[in-house]
Amino acid sequence: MKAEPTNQYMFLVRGGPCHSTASPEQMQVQMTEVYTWIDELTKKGIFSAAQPLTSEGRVVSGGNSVTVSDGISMESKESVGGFFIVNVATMEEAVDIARNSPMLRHGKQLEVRQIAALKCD
Amino acid sequence: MIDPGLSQPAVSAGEVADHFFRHEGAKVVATLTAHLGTHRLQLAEDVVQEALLRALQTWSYRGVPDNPAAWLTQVAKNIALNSLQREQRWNDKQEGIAAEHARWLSEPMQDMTPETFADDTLRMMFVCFHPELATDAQTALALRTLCGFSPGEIAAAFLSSEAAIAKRLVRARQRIRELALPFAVPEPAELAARLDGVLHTLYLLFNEGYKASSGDHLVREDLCREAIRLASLLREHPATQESRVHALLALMLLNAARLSARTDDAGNLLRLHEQDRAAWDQAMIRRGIACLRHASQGETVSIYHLEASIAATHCLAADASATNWPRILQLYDQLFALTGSPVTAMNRAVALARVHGAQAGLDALEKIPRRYLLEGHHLYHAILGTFTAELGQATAAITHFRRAAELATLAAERDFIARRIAECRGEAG
Repeated sequence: MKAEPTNQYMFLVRGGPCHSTASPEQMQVQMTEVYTWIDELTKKGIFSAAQPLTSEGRVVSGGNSVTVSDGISMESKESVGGFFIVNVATMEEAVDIARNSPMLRHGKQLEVRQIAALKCD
Repeated sequence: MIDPGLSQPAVSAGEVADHFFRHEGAKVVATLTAHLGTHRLQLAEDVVQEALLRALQTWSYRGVPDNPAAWLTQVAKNIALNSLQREQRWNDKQEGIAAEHARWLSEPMQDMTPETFADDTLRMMFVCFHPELATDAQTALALRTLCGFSPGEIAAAFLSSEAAIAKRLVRARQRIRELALPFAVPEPAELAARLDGVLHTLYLLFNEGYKASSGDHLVREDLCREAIRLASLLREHPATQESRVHALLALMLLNAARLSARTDDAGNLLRLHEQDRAAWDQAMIRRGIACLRHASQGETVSIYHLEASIAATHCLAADASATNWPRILQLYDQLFALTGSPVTAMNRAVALARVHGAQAGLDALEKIPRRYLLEGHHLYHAILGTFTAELGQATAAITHFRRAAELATLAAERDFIARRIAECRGEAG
């Protein structure tokens, strides 16, 4: 068994919570922009999945003496708020899609990673 | 492999209703206030803001849940509970959270039906439009809590600053605490008078949007739409289905349907005969007429009935020349009998001039009781100008229009008057 690259890429969305003074109307504009983007990707057959993560989280670490800590605060720019999975063949295409995400304008950062698959020979 | 349930999110930009965040958030502010008390209004607003931010974060990926207000309520309850517990830990002397509040907040979700939210919203309306609050406090508070506007958006609607609006809201909430206003629909004995107050403020809110002096076109439509939405809530709730509620809603719909036709693409104000009637919203006119028919089944005739009937008469005319001015004059006669206000008398004079000529209009203006109250009103001088111009007295007309221009506050109004002066000059020269 060996890991084969798939034709799927994941966008990890970082950037912490949205600006807390945004009005409900401005929030709706942001959400609609993301939906429009997903709609377009779905029409092209590129969109595969998306999922948000809640703010609950723990970091479990250590070998002999395991520690459990609260992990990265949701307020942090580093925290991952969710992910998208898209069906494209190359990293270039994936980056191109991420580049056009409205989430960049909303203060988010997208890390683009290729998803590995396990395939029997 | 990723959970197959993740693969098909029910996301579609087209399925999200306009102003959805504003209105869902507002429902939850009402429901939280119902359980936490009106003295915690600020807390309710804050936690709902936080809940909306979490909704944005979650819903952006997976679409909107079936009962978004219930989702928001659950999240808001958790945030409120944390916040109140922290407050209590920091300050023991502080009036702690009452046991029943804490119980409600930590309880798992009960059934949150549309009726629950509608009941709470109705009660919230009676808090926001309480007669002990000043009118400008009432409208600002209503836009904030019942409509989900931000202070900045309210400031844009009232041509005020965000800081001034924020201050107004703080004072209004403080007043609500001092008066310990109950979160309730008034008792039957009190309901009629209180409902009158609610309707009057909604009427003012609508007019704020309808009159040209509110500036930006979209902002004005926002105010009119919100006033219509709140009046619709009153009309739909069993506790407030009165004929004057139907009449007020009819009046709003029949005027809002013609709002966008009142100006041309450049923002210039248009006279009735210059407006493109094809731009009138016929679906809204039909709703308005249906409401008016419903309102007419009652026994009493309110000013809203009469103003709605005047608007309906305009809406039903095929073109400006087909306007049934005798009918409008008759309605203004009735309206003046009810209000006795000089402004009503002024508008009546316009209808009179359409029926009996400009001289009759001028005579009627002269006979208006307490006419001095109109002297500071640019429309009064513009109407004098129009009548005298129609009688061929161009020089006198120009004098009246100049006075009107001095009093007009908006550029669009001054431009409108400047065009009238230019017409008079053309005739005089």
